[in-house]
Amino acid sequence: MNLTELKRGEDATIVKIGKVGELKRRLIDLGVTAGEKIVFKRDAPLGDPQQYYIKGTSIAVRKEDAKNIEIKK
Amino acid sequence: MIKIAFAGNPNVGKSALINAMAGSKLKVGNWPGVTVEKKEAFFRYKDQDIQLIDLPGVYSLSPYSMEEVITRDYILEENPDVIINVVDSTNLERNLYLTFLLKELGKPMIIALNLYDEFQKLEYKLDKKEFKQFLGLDMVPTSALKKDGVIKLLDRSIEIAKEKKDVKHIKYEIGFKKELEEDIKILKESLENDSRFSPVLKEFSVDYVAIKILESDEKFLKRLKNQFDIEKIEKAEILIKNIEKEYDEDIETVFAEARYGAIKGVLAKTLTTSMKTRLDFTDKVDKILLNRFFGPLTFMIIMMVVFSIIFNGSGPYIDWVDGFIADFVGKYVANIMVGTAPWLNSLVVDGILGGVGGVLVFVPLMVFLYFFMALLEESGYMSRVAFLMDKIMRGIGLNGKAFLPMILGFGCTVPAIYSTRTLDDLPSKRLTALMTPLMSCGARLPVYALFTAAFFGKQAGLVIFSLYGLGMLAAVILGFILKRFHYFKSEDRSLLIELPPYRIPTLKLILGSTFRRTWSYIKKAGTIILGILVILWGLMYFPNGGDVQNSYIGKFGKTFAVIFEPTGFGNRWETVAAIPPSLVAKEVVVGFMGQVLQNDTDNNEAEELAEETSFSEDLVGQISAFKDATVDSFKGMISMDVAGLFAAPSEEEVKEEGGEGVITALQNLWADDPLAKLRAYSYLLFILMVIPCVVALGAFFQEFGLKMFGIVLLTYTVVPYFVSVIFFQIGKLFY
Repeated sequence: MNLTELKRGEDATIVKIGKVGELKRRLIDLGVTAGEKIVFKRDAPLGDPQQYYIKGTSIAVRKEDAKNIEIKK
Repeated sequence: MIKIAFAGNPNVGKSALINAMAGSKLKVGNWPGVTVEKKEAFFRYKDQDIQLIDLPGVYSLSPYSMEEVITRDYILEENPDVIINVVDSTNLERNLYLTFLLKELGKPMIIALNLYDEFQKLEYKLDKKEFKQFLGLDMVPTSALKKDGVIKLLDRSIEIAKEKKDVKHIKYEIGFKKELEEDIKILKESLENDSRFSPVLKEFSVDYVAIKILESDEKFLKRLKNQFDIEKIEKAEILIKNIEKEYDEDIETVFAEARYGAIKGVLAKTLTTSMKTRLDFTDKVDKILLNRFFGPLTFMIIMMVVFSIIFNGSGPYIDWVDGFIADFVGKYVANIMVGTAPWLNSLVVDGILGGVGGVLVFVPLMVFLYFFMALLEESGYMSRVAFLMDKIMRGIGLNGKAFLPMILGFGCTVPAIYSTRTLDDLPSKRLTALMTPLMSCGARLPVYALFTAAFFGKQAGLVIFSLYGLGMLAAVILGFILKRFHYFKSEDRSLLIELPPYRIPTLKLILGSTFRRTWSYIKKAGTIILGILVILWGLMYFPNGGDVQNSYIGKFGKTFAVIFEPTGFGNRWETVAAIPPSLVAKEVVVGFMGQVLQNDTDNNEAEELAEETSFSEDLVGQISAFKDATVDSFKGMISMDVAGLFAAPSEEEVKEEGGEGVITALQNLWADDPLAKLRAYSYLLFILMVIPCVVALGAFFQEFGLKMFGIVLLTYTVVPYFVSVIFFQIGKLFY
């Protein structure tokens, strides 16, 4: 499953970040790496982007990008 | 001299720390050629010359982002004597990632365990001795509020700088996984035996070279090729292929994860956390500020408050500065100039002093703008603005952070341009800044008011409203077109940002940033603004000694009116002649129209015979005016009167500026012309979109350089011309 399938408040473990490239590297710089626990906090009031907690950091990611992050519960 | 460079993630209190260390010595500038802010300080401490350099806040040292490249190039090429790596002690796991990347550069380094007061509040414990041993780095707990840590950090940094003075490359243990360390070692040996690499290894440590080659770091490989003529490194290629196969991941990711792994290892042995986290408080605030319902509501309130305070608060001070320069300084300068040639007199009083005034009247606005920019950024709310507005701004090809500049543009283009600093990448900054002049600013309102009073009567409100709308529409269209050009094309198509913990910044930090940035405006933008204003003065004064009708500008209008024929308004040279003066400030069009239409060279400076007042009386007058301005500023700030900022001036105010007969005179411009309304509207469209005022141009120049300056001139000559032509030609068919 991918990151956007999480419900509010749920957490999961990151398996892999798909799609190599600039964004993947920036995700990693912010601590989004395989094996890490990630929590879905909320959608922005307009539905996108989304807020997540990972490695003690709160980040905002657009849904289209979150779709590329593979997780397992 | 000891060079100390500060490096660290964004939002870790790096600015506050450097502020605490350097205080008022801190100066702000830009890194050469880019719009990334550079803070620097020189001072003497314990009989030594110290240079502090604040490197941009970064998460990593990749070759992809400008800030990261600046940071790593600085460290590798300028060889600071010691790097202070500022880390958020409450979030070590992620912060140490940069620490490890910095370690790979092999330079003298120390860690500032910042926000240590918060660390203690969270009841976290760190075994510093072990931590130091594992990392191979010394550290000092700091919090910007407590001075003792700051002094200790400076002392230790100087000691390390001296100890490591003669060491070229420091070999820090990174602690990658065994297999990876093995691969690095193999490559290192092969590099050391490769004659092509001997000049490379003189400059960089072999560990760094090996890791960068293995990581396939674009920028480093390019450098090997260009500077050392090394292209193919067979050994590395084989190793990379094997590693990628083994881990089923690209090589960059393998290394990144290995670093995180090493960090986890260190922290597992040294850090004890509690149930509390640094996001506990932030989480509660986010529940309101990012809430589906309250989020947008509080956002609108905050934006209105900010907008109102910036413009209503600075307004009275702007008027005061204007009066101070024109009436007080002007009076005494004029006294000195008595008896000189009229042109010299006018040059000094109208040209130069007027120009200086033109620069300085914006200072109150800059102070208010920079204060709120710093407040929004340092408190953590700016990132939330991006989060809340991203979906809307994405629609026009920008990200959420572009919202603030656009909103400010409706007040004044100048602060709007400067506020693009909060955006992340240069192409987005450029594009956003370029779009801001199309947000109709307050100075255009008097022009709208004059023309609507003369031609539109009761439809005035509708006309003005439509101009705002068309400006925004034009901005969106322009954005879509320009995005295709490399110069404006952002590589960064995503919004991936940290939403940092909310913090209450110290007033000292905010004020420091405000005044440094304001000073930088006066120095950098001021010069070019003054220059253009003096040139414009010359064009309006010569060759006929102040007779505008026959000045170069007047001649320009008469000569070039024909080119403007298709726009509808070009059948009268007066409207065309008013275009260059509109550069001084848009509202100048009103006064200029008054002058040329009424054949009256001096109607708006009705020379009342001033009473003889002494210098001290004048000074007292200015001081009391300043007090009044302060009172009015406070009243303005608490009034929250946003609507007032968008209210067009009344007919009386227009007449005051342009002269009693200006509206009638303007009507006579196209009297009995059935297309009068169409011509007038076309002109308003042109004034809306034509080259922004010189202060805005100065801001473009300061922030983005000469090329952008040229692009702005070109864009805002071509766009208004074609918009007006298209409007008028199509309008004619239906009218």
